[in-house]
Amino acid sequence: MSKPFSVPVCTACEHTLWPPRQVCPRCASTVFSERVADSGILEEMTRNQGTLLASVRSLAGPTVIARLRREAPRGAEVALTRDESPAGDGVIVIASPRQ
Amino acid sequence: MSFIIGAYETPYTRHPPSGDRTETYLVDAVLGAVADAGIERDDVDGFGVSSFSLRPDHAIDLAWRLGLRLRWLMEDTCGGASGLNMLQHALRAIEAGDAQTIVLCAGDRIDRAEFRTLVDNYNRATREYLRPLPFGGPNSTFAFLTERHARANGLERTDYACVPLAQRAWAARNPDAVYRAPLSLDAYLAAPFVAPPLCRYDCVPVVAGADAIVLSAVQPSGIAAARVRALCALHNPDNQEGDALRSGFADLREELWAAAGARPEDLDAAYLYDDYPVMVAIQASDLGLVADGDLRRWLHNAVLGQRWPLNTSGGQLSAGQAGAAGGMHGLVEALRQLRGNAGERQFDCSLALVAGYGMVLYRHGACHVAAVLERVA
Repeated sequence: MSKPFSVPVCTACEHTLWPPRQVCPRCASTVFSERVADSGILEEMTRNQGTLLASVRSLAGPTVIARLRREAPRGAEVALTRDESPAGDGVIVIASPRQ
Repeated sequence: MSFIIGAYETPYTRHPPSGDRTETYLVDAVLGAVADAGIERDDVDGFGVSSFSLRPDHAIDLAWRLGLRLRWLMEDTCGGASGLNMLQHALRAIEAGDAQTIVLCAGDRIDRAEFRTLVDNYNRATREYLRPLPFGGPNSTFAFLTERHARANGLERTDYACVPLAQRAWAARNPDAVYRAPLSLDAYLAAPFVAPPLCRYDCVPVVAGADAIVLSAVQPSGIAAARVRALCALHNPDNQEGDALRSGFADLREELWAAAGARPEDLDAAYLYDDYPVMVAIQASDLGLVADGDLRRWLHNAVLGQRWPLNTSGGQLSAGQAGAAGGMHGLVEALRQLRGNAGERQFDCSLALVAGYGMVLYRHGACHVAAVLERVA
């Protein structure tokens, strides 16, 4: 079951980041909460070994590398969701063009 | 003062014999560099190694296999920046008197399955957030970067092609390059895509092999030497939050040229880390090689048209990438040119730039090291 994608947000300076890290790159705080990042803009797209992939600038801030549901033009708005990997040892970020 | 008095590269191979292991190549490279330096194994008192596939062994295990008795030992994990990163440490070790004679080596023997395992587990972020997509390795992230760079600079595939085409022409004069046949623009454009816009010729062939160099506090008589005029490093300059169109090399450029007491126009050659053509373009711009800022003209005129000495071994794109040896390949070729033993492709070289770039954390490489080396009269 897909969930809306979210990213860590620093509780001290509100800097958002992806992937998660231990220390805020901007202010060096170590306390984070979560912020929904369920929308983004498609910046680049490629296909490697049959998988369509995208670099997406999330509206929450960070640029995210995601599996792309279908081809879309640069600048297209995409929905960002996340699935757990089947083995439970990773996260699959999925970008779905809104149109 | 430190002198670089030896350099050696094992022949790279696309199809290593099944009995060959990573240490097979690393040992060959170390012994070859020691012989090139005109010293004995027992003269070596410092040792550094970088390899993705040496595990479960480490630097001390390899030292043991070589029979080295050491006062200084390091193992480096900076991938494409490993050669120069180890060089930075080794220079200081000799200056400080911790060692007199240091051998640095890098190499790998990785088959297809091991390569897949390596790229899927390159770091924890890759394992957890890219492998499950699946992302297919760094070709995808550098496809994004190439597209972004092309858009920002108004470049097309025919512009990036200048790098592999020119380097293939240099490789024709390197008997050890794995690909030496001339490459035409038509063949480049007709090649299958690996990850658009990247085609086969934009991606390095994976090979087995190793490289090694020897540093010494003294220059033995009769042995050609080079020395490092300047070396600067910058790691994790942007926390992966920038667009990588301006790399860490742009931030270390002024310090590098000031320390070297030289300018880019003084160079006789440059050895830029060529995992992908776009990275050659970015390093050339960021390190000041493109005097007028016109990258397209530099690619077509200097690199392809005039064959200005860039990656004169053929680079990794034609000679191959032997894992961590990719971080030492350009350094060894620079030393061959500076020390006058580059064979058929030798040219008059007294000042060379070498750059190392490595370790994609999530979106792009994080380790940047550049050095200016000169021939010792």
